[in-house]
Amino acid sequence: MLRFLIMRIVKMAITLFVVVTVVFFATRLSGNAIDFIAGEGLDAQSRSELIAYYGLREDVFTQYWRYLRGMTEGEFGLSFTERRPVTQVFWERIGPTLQLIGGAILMTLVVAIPAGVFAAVRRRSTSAQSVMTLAFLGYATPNFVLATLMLLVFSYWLQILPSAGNSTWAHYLMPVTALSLTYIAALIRYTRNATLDVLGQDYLRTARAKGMSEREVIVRHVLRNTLITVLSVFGLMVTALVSSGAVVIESIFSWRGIGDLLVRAAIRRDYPVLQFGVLAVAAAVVVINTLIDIAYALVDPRVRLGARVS
Amino acid sequence: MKAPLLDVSNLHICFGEHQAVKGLDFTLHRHETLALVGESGSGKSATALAILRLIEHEGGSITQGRIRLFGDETHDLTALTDKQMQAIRGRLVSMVFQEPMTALNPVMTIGQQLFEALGKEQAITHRALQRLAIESLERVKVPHAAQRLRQYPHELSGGQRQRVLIAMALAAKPSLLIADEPSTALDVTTQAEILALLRQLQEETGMSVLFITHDMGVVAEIADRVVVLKDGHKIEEASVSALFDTPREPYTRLLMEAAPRLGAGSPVPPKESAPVLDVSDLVTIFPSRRPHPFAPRQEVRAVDGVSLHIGHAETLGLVGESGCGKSSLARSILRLTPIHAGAIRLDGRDVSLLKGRHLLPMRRAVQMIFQDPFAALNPRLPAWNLVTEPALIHGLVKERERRDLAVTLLEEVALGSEHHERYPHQFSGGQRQRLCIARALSVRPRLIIADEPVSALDVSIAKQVTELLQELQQRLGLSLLFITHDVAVVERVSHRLAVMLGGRIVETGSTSQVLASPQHDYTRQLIEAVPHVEPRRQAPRSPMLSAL
Repeated sequence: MLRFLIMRIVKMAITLFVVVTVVFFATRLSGNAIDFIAGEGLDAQSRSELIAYYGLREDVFTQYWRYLRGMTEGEFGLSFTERRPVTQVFWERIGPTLQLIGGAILMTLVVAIPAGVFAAVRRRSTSAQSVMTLAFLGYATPNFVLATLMLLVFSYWLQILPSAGNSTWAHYLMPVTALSLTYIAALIRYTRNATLDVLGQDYLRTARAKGMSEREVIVRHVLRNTLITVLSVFGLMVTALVSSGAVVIESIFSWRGIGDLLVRAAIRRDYPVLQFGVLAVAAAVVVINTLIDIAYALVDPRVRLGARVS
Repeated sequence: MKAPLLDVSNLHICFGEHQAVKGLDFTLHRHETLALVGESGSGKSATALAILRLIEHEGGSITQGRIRLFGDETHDLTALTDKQMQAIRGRLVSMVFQEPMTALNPVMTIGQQLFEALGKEQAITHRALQRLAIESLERVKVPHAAQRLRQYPHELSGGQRQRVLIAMALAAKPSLLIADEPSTALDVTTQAEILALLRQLQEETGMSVLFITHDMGVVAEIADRVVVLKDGHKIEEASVSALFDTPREPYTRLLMEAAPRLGAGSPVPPKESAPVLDVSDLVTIFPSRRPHPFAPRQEVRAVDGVSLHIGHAETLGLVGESGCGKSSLARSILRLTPIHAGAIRLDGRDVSLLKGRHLLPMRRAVQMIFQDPFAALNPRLPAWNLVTEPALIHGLVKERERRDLAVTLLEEVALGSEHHERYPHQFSGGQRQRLCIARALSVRPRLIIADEPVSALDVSIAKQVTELLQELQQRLGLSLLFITHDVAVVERVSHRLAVMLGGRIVETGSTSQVLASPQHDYTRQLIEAVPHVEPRRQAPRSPMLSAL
């Protein structure tokens, strides 16, 4: 376990270094930030002062070196557009996004796993087949379509749900639903398939031969084995959600989160914000993957962390 | 006379359209062991599952008939609800299944699974439950019982797992134990131990046992009375001694002859010749996991200095239990796993250092047949494609000639032309193994390595497959390395024997010589473990069995 964690931390450091480097140079390939900050018609004198102010005078490698040095002291530069430290800009935005993504993850788990298990156990019933039809529809519906549809119905026609902002719990209903829809639909299908595999296993016959009721068999013997398969897919979903999932939904519901911030930063060539954003997302993805691997070992006793595959 | 414990009358079982059991009658008395004998598809397992009413969960149903317990109308199991059955399963009637490797939940500890069977009615403390669990494991002779409770199924051997399953089945002291091929998936020596254990437990508890098997050798070891099933019908019923003295039905006789036993005699050895395969001092090492990064590197010497040779048209039987290294040896000879020392000579040429495409001619000369014919065939390819693929790889056949080659190959293994377009799932286990043999023959190999080729098959089918291999050997002059855990099977096919234990060959010689006067203790154990096809011998059991 310890060995596994140390290895992971080393790998994480390498990953993040590569990410910083690629992002640093890639953003600077796309054009000059000063054009955006300064606008048209600035005299050469002021222009050169601005360049100096944002530390853009030296060649790109010196800038890069300075950025790396700053990182070790927790300095990630100033936002070009907001003219304050990027960490400060992020800090204001992280809360709403975490709430949105956390809500979506929770909703996905709470809805999809019971629904998927149900659809497998009662696979011949009409209700199970309806669940699968709904899941299919949900999978085929893009989240921005559902989001605008919900806005139309609940905010415009019925006027029972707020269309923007995040001040009350009612504000969360539509964005979280819209965001989790695809994931719920996909996870229902995976859970159902995983459960069907488990339902064919010999050890369930052993459990029934002990005199256990069907409910006990499902809860004690089926669920945990199902989770092993579902966990890996779930890990991919969480990663996808964190890295790009909330961008569209944040724009639609005017949710002042990270996704919204990054889109704006990319458009305005706000390098420091973009760099820090990508770095933060990359770090989150690596941490999530590590957590999923640890969860995997907790659920499945046959998995040993850090074991070489022979 | 007391009513029988179990009275099955006019039982009909269907799987969809297919009628698996057609009007079966039998009774089982108190303290009696009744064997239900038949081949795969005879309806014996369906009957067992029907008694516990688990058949519905396997996609079957009881369409007619009654299953009465204690001769009591209120205990007609076919009329009870699933809820009422839950009170009977595991308490009055329990069951042990064929596959100990898959019958335990892999993510629950042995303890958790035992507690489920033990603590059903009494609300007792965890400590008391634990004590009961340890006692129940000790009763089935599981060593270090207290430690086992915290272990997971994958940490136990097949034999140990079957003991755990027996402990679970006996937890609530049932009146009837149904044992569905409980020893079939195990090594012969382990099988002998499990049979001895079941016999002893029955004497202690006085329960009745319904024992399901395809192996007449096992029947003779364990049963009081026998019911022979074929295609869902009972074709013969008799006490075990009467059945073995004067079997009435030809089918019963067929089953008896198929049972592996010693003393059937081994084939005449071929003329001495230069060895086709000559292995000397072969060592294969697998690195094992280290507990922490600073621990010394450990290794498993799976093959530890093995030397053997096989002549032209000769069969060498390699015998040993699971884990002794016999499959690693096979993989090493095929160069499928890296070897660390020693030499492998094929027709005098050292192939142990060949690499990449230089291995190709050697791969053609040596072919392999695997244990599990279900897993060894790609389910998405038709038979003609499967059997000619090696020939295509080695450039012995053109794409458009493949079907013609398939005709010849399938003929050689006695499969008719109607089989060409079929996919693996449309074949029976025996037929699939024939496909595997045809595939091996497609490149006209010098040597075939057969790794437990008949262990997954019913005894009667196994006999046909080994006979086919022998016939092919004589016709084509093939050399065979026949790997098995069963001495009785190997006696029929091998000219010479090599006994393997812990990565080493501990005894070798001509088959008749090794079996007649085994030199090594382990060889003696293997020979003792073979069931004797004669009803329970009154003579004292072998020292190894009574020591259990």
